[in-house]
Amino acid sequence: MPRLRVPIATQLVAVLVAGVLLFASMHLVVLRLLITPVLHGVAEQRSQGLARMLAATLVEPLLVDDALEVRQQLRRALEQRDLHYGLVLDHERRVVATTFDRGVPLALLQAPASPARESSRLVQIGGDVVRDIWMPIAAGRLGVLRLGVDEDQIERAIATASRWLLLMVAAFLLVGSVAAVTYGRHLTRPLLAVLDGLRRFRLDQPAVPLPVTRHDEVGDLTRAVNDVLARLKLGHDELAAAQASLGETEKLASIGLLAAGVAHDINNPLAGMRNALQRIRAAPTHVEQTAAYVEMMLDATQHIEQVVRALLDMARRAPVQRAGVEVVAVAERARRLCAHRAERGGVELILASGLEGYWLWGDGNRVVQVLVNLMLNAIDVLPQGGHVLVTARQVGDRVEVCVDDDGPGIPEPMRARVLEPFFTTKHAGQGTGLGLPVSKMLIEEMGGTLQLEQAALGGTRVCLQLPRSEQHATAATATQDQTGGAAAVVSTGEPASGS
Amino acid sequence: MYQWRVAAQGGGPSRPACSRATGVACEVVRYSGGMSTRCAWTLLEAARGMLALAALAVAGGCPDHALPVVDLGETVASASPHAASVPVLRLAVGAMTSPEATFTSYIDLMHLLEVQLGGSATLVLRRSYGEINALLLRGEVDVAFICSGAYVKLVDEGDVELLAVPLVDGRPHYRSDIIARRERGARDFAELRGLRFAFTDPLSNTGRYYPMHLLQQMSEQPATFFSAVVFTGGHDTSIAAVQDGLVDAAAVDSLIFDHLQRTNPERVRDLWVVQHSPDFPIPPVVVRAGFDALLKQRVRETLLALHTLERGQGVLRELHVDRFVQGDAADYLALQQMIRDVDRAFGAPR
Repeated sequence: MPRLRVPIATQLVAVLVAGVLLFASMHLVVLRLLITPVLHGVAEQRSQGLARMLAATLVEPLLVDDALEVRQQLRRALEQRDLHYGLVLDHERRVVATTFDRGVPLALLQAPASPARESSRLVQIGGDVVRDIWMPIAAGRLGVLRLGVDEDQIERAIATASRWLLLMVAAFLLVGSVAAVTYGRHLTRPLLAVLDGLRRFRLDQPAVPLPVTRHDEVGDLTRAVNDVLARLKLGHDELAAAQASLGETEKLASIGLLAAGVAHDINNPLAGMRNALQRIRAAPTHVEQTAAYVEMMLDATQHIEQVVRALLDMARRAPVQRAGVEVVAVAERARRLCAHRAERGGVELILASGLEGYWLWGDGNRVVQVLVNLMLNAIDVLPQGGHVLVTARQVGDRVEVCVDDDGPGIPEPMRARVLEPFFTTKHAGQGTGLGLPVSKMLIEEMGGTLQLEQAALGGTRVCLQLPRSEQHATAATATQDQTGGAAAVVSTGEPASGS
Repeated sequence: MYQWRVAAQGGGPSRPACSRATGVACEVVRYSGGMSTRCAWTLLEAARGMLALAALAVAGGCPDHALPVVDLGETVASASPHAASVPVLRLAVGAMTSPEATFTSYIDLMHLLEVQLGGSATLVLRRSYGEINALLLRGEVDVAFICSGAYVKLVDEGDVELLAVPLVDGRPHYRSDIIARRERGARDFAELRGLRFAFTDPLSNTGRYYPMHLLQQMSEQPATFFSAVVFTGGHDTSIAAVQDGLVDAAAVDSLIFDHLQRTNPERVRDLWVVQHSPDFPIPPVVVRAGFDALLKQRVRETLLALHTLERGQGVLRELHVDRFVQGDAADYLALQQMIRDVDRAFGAPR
């Protein structure tokens, strides 16, 4: 059965109608079944009282055979009440007096079942309801008085009362329905306002409290809704702030992971520099050697500068700055930062040749952070001899950069979950599990997307898409093919002592 | 209904499905906020029941349909009041007490006489002694219990015979009591001057002739001696009139007054006897002249033997009479003289 939505106003009207009809029908029942017999009972008592009194006044005239007096008494009684007929019979059932002009109806000369006792019954005479009373006089020794008293007025009164009742019911239904609808609207207006307010609520917009206009349950509801929305907004704001700081946290975690590599990267050139300085000290007058070593030391210094700058750049907490970013440049920076870990893990970090010429629009530091994260993820899962490949291509008006590995891949059931915060398959201390979700968040903040795709190398493939930077597009990009795949190797992950 | 109850008792917020039969109304009820479905269903059922009942009541509950119909069309001409059978005895009683009391007392005597005579009898009552006298004279009644004064008048006017006389307290006499309210403090008739007085019947000895006799002796007229005069028609009525203060004094039959004092003293509690008369001959039973001699004899014998019959004793008690005796017309001569004198002085009542 289809679900029916019944507005409150309709419910009120329905309840009103049901209530009024119930009330009316109960009253009609009471009128017809209870009051009518009661009224007849009262009328019966009064009529029999009258008959009894009249019979008492007829005793003396009957005793002294004063038929004239009997007739006069009867006639007097007829004048005063709704008497349909009157009849006096003597003890031998002969008519002494009657109100009929022409003869006495046979039906009225017949005695009831117990003629010695007074009795009455309701009969119908010519469409009127009449009470026919049999009243023995002096216990029947002197005769009988028979009266017919109109009780039609009772039926008429009941009919009138019923009609008035139905009229009142109709009027009440009309007025009541209008009132019910009006009150229903009055009742629902603040509810609808609350509903409207809820519908228009946006987490990212300041919460406007709904006006509390009523001092009843609806007012309480409105206040409660305002309270909930405020807490929701607060919670959301806190979550957003937390998410924002997550990015920082993850970045710092990454930096932590990279620290060893960075230290190594700094240490190697420093060792070289120390060597060179020692040689210079040993043979200070050997000018050609000194000149060569100085060149070497300058290279080493530059190398250290680059590494430190890369790290500082990554660690910097800066708002999103969008600019044209050369893909190959950020990929190289990320590679350099991960070079040490890659070497330690026996993994080859490869930047495809097709990276050249691609420029995207975004925050270079953040892109570096994301690429570092993706590379570190891959390095962590790859065994000795694994490969990580970074490719790029154009998709519509966006640039897609993908990081592939030929590792074990992510099993189907976990694919959807890897983008969940804190979901990690790594052991404690190895990874925070923040990487992918935060990377996704950072890319999305720049107007891009990050998702897992079908692995080309058999392992995992994570691709990020960001808007293409128009001004730096070169003709070279137009010729790049759309299919991902290994291209000519540009450089290998070889943290050599300068190049 | 059962389905609903089971579902509702299952607890929890689950709502039973509405059966097809109940339709929209059920759905409306389901969504009626906090009302439990069970409660709402009961209400719906009750409402439907009430409406059905009301419809029944309005449509078919009119009592008219159940009433018997009386057709006043078929009539008979009013039967003329002739007796179905001719009675052997028509007994009349003068209204010494109210007709209903008289009727009750004498109807049993009448039935007893019917048995004795072997035929039906009728009891005739009239409001005044004059009417009884007229009936006797016209031969429309046969035997009558009349007042002594009425008897005396009858004797003057026509042919009646004394049939029997009752003995009360062993004597065939009674008196006239002039009664008044105690607080008047009247000690004799003369002190009733200027008061309101009640007579009983124009032909009554104790109720009129005796006080008129007293007035005659004082050379007074009732209209001037008393401030107001009424005829009550009966001795018990006169007594009640004085007791209720409608009149201040009255002349009544001593038998009746004494009887009331014995049996219903509260009805005479404010009254006393201002003056009694000397003994008068008691109201007799008379028979009209032309009545069948055999029947006359039979009636007389019955009356005289009443005290010997068991049933007769009951009748005598009702009549407050010891027994009936022959009686002597000569006893009434003195009374006849008094009445003649009063009539001569004040004029005969019509």
